[in-house]
Amino acid sequence: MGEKYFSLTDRIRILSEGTKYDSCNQTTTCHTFTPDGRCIQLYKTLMTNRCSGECLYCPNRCGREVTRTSLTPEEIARITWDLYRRNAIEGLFLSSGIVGDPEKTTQKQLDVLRLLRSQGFKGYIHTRLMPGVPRDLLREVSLYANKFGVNAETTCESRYDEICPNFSYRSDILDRMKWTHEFVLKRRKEVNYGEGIVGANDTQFVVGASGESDGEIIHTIDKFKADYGLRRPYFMSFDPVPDTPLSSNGPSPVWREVRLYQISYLLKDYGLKANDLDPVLDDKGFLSDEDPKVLLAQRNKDLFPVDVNEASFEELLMVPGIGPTTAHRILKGRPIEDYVQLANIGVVLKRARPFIKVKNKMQSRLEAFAP
Amino acid sequence: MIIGYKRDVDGVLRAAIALKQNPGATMVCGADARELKQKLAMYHGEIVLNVSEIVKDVPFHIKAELWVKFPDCGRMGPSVSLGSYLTYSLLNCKCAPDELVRMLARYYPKLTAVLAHKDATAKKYFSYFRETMCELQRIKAHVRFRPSGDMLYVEISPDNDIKDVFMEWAARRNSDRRVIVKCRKEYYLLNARSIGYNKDTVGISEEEAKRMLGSIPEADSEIWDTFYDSQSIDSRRNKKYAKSRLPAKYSHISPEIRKERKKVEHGIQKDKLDLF
Repeated sequence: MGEKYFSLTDRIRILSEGTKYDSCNQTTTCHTFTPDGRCIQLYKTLMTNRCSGECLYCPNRCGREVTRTSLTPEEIARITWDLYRRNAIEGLFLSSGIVGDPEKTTQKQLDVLRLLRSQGFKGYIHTRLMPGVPRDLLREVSLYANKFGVNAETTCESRYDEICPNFSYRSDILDRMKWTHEFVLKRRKEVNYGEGIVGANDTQFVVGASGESDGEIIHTIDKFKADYGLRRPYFMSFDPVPDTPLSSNGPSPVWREVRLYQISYLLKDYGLKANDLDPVLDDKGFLSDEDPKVLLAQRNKDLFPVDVNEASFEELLMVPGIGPTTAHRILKGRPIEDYVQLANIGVVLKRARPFIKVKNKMQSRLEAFAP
Repeated sequence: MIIGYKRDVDGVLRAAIALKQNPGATMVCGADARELKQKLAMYHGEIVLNVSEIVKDVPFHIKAELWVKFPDCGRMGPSVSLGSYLTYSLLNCKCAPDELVRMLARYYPKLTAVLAHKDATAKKYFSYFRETMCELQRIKAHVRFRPSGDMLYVEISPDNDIKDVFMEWAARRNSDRRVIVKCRKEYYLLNARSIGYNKDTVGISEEEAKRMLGSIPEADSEIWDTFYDSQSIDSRRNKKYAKSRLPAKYSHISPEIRKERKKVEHGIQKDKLDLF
């Protein structure tokens, strides 16, 4: 496309549309909700959609005919301040296409971060870094950002080489994730609680772009958590974009993204390991469109029903309808006399009832009537 | 005996202790020291005392437990401390301080047992506490400040008496800007020290507010509308869920939220008049 003048509003629209599939919720206050029901807490934008990368699934890939534009660091800082002062957002989510090389792009991202923090911006900043970001710049980002990391996109080197031919999975992604983890740990030692920003490591997967199974993704997340202290993985369903090499592939179902988020919470908050989740996968390693925790309980029938007055915290966590908060409440509220008390505590009885017993009372099962 | 007390956490706690010591006393509540003095002055020929003369200080064991958070066993409930329970209950429009004092006197000296809400009054005040706190959270999330030069302007109309808590938060969030808050018919100026006032928050007249602002700024923001519209994914539109997240009954909080609620209900209009 030839150079064309775009007003600030046009550029905001074009660049924000490029990030609308990213879930980057801070899960504190929700300022408003879009018609698809997702909350808005951060101003999400790309710095530019010009990109030298040739990632096969990406709408902004090099050579594709698309309207290209960019925002300067000063403009991003000004918009962020404007929306923050209006109380419309809690912070900024900043991503970008790669302009020239990763170093130059990260420098520009750092300009935004430096500018905002030097102006006294205390809001949340989430930064998506470029594959191959230099170590010294990564260190500097760790001083300003609340969450940052490079996108893993897929699960292994061979798949990555297929969809992102310009970058190396081992050196441009895994090494950077390792450095991110090192800098987060270093920052934790440097900063006393509440006195400065300590970031966290995050990454994103494009689900379905390279044919990886859910099992592979789950095992990769588990490995990243152990090796790189991954705080939270994000998922983006693959949607074929016209005029890209993957335009003829089918889209990944949106429910797959939802189920993978549920799985990621089971790994993060419920203390499960990837191997524990193998029973919920089918023969080819894919999830079905059902709640993975309910499936897990149905596949481990011998562990249930658990007595809510005697079960340990870990046993309670395995019951569908009981989360970490309600499990703690049950432990503190013992003895539990009846189902009404459980409902008042916050247990979702509709899901939990087949898997629990209260004072030796439990829901009857069909198997009990079998000869 | 007539015992007067102020409508705040300290006043209510002292009043509860005083009532326990003098069960037959009549309690008189005042919103502040001035109102309390005026009310007490109306009682003649009786022993009229301010609660601070009977209870010099709140006992240490109560102070120590005042802000300790106890896990709440209610559905979706936050952890609650006796201090926040009393603070938010007192801010509720339906709160009767004398009733609250009588309830606390019944529980004294084990005041934290109130949080177990075993009796109807404790339950009622717990619902008041939640109601007030939820309203504050809703306003904090949905209210929008409108810039006017180097100042900000915001309108609120809460059902409960939470304007002071809100203004404290608003001043902290925009500590480098002067903020004018319109609460029903009253105007307040936040961060007022920067222009020579001796307090951070001062009440000002409507004329003064208009003089400072020039004119009341518009609610529309082109930047925000552009960004909001760009974030929606049409193919994933979920009207029912989105409506439940942005309920109509709370969309009165600000014109911006009202507009977004309309977009949730009717979708985002792609064809603009400019296109023709």
